[in-house]
Amino acid sequence: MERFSTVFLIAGVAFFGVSVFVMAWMPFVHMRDIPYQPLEQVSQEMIPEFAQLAEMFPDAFKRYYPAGVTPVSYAKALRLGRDIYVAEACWHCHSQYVRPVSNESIRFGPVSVAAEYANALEFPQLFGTRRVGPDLIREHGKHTNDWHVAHFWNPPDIAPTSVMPRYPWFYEAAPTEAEPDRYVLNERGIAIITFVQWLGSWLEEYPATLYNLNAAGAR
Amino acid sequence: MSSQTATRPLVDEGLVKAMIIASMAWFLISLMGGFFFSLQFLQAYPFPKTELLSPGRVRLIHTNLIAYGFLVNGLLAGLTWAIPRLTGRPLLFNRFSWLLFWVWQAIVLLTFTGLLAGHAQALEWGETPTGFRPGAFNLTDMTWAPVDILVVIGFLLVSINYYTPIILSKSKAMYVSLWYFSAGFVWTALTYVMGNFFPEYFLPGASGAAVTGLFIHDLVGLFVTPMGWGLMYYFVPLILKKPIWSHGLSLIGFWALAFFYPLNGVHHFLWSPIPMYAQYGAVISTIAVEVVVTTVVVNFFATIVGSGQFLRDNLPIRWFYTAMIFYFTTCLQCAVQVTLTVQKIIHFTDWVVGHSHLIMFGVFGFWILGVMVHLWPKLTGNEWYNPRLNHWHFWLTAVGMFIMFWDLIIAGLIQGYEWQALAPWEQSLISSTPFWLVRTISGTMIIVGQFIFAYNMWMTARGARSRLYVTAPQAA
Amino acid sequence: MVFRPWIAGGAVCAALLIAALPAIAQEDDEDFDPSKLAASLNQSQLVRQGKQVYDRYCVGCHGANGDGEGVAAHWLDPRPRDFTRAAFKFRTTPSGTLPTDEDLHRTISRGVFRSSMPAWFLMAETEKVAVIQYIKTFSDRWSDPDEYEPPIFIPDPPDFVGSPESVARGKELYDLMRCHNCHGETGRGDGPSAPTLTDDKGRRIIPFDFTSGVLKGGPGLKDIYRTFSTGLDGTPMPSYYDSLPNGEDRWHLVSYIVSLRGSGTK
Repeated sequence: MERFSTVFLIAGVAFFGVSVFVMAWMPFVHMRDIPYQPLEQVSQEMIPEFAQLAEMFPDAFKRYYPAGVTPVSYAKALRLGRDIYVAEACWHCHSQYVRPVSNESIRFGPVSVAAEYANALEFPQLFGTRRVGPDLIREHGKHTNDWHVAHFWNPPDIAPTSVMPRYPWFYEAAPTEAEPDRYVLNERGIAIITFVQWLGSWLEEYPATLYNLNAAGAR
Repeated sequence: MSSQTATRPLVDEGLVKAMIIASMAWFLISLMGGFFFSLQFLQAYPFPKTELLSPGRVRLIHTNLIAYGFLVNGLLAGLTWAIPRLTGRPLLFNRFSWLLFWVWQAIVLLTFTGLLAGHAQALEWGETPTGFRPGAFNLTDMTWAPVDILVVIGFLLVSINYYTPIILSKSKAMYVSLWYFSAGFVWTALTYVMGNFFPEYFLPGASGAAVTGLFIHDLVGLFVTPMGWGLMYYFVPLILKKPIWSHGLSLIGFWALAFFYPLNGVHHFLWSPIPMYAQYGAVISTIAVEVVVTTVVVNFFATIVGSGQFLRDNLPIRWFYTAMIFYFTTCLQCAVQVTLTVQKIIHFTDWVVGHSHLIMFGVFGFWILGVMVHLWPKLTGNEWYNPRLNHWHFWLTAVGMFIMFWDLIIAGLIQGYEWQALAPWEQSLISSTPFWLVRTISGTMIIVGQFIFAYNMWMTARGARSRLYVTAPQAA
Repeated sequence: MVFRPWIAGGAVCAALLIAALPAIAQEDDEDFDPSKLAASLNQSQLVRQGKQVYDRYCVGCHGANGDGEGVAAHWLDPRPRDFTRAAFKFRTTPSGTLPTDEDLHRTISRGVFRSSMPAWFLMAETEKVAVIQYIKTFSDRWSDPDEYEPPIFIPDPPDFVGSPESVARGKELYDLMRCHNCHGETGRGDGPSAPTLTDDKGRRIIPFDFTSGVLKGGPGLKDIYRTFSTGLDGTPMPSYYDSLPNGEDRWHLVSYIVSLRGSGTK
């Protein structure tokens, strides 16, 4: 019990192996049959917000996404948007799964299931462990592109109580006092809004809050 | 003693000193990161338009420098001091140890710059840049710096270096500290490889989340915890000048920890799309860990019975035992908060932030600070410049930590119940603001304490002596 | 008999609970009426609370003066509503009159589709009622009794809505009412007069593209019917209550509008 080899092999290697087997290998085997979606497949069905961004900022869009409003550009924007989401540590203040408890399905939308996360943009997954801001996995369509463009510039402007940081480096041209309407997103700005608008777009009903589901269901 | 040890000293004290300095330096930077990030919660961030100091990135700096700058350097300083003394043999190579030391600082520096430049990896507590990412977003190309791989190589070399004296030790049975160290090194390397590479390249979505959960917890439970307890089993009996109370209890504590702790990780993602049996297993083994922890804590408190005056007179012992009370608090809290019922309310809230501050800083940070207080006069050969400053350091830190913990616990409960009650999201921000203000204030207390300590260390190293103590009789 | 405080206390608690039962039961009342709730509360206190709510949620876009010129307003298209004019798009009342509390409550609760107005469906009902009272302080129109008209009844959709005959009849009415002038022959919002249109503040306004999905007024058939019956105040969209006095005609038009959906993107 107190020799190096015993401690090294049993406590160090074997017990660790048991934990990996039970806690990692078994869930993996359990979820092995969930079909995996590569990025090409994810990007086939484009969200309307992407085309709308191309309309809002035609020059910038053409410059950064020369393939136009196509799955190729969409895939590029999603990939880049995800990388920015990671780099800016968005995932430390926004979770990405709706739990079946605490009335979250009323607040955010349908409860998350494993199949939603089996795609190329979930390496690693972005579940998150803290919510300073709301969960984002059902974010698609809850706010317009306009709202996001304003919000990334200075969140307390549009949501006075917000504690979210500013992201002026998502903008190629910033609005000024004299010309408040002249603003243009850059490559990163288009990408992050595309990524955030993509979250949850695979569900049928949108925006997927209980209230709106009821409203849409009413004739 | 073999001829090898006769030619060089048992412990390279310069290395221990360098590690303590590095640990303290990264610690101060990390604390400033945490302080600035907390200002964001009050809508008062000082550099809102600077991309490289974006609050999100500064948050990554805070946690990663704590883990890889402060804790790793601080724990290795303790190991470098303790392992040769426990085994009677020096480390494998002294020069090599120095090389590893500088390589490690380079890794932390690369992590620091990489995170600020936007190359984080989406792995909590392991945001160290991955390097090779095809199609990754590059501000300045960082693919030449695969920090993850460097960390693995670094850990392996450190393990070899520190295993050598343990393996070569003549004694048949190892002292309990060495069990923890022996298991801890292999756990750390395995954990790091598992967490940094499998979810990143092979396991998408929920199955990757299970591994990520394991990583988050194993880094605390299988690196910091065994190293920390190993150091306690060494320093506490040494300072108290009496053996640990029960050898049998320490055996139970170690083996039960070794079995249950690795199974805990998935509890970071309860009520998530990970299969429920893994979640139930994680909950049960987390509660089991609480039982284990009780045996260890009982062992230490039984040891100090009869030597209570040390808590008053001896600052390192006071650090160690304060942290042990915090440790027991955290683990008891953990056994409660991990249940699925409590998770409904407190998950995603500031409760968890309070919990992790108490365990990472209130326990392991305190232990390292205690070790520093104990070793620094020995390493520099000077008396403390001003022992009273060390008491200020202790009380500011301990009280600050205590306030921060309870503040965040209460804030977390309020947030959780407001979310469950379907209050608009903004309501939870408004309710939290006073608590976030108290958090910043208590954090400032901690930071002031550390700067006082750093100043005291600096003056001590210079051989200075506060005017108060030049003529006074020697302090204990 | 000895006086036992806990028995007495228990009895009082039980009595209070029984007395409170009707009040608790009322909470579940499905026909929630914001104006009734507002009338039952202290008015000046409501306005004070409404200002708090407004400053917390609304001020960024609608502005501290309620003029729709908040700090974030210049980013948004369509622009935030100007409460100083008290001209509201989504009403059940006749064209040019003030909306009912229910109308404002509906807009706050589910937001304005296709615009940056979020759905505040989690806001407490008292807060919604309070902010409605506060919004009314921005314009004098609310104190003029001549500005009020009783709401138009919006019935449930009849069964023929969506049938091919109804769609064909709707198409005839669409041409007859010259809807294509603005909304275009195919309903894409590209009619000949579309480029000339402005709202009541002189800003360019684009006719709705019916092929693109849910209308701003709401996703239900009744929402579209309501728009035909009352018009959208502050925009060039008129009410067809007088020109199509037969409600069935307006339902046919709804059939046609809905049939245009799906020919564009989602």
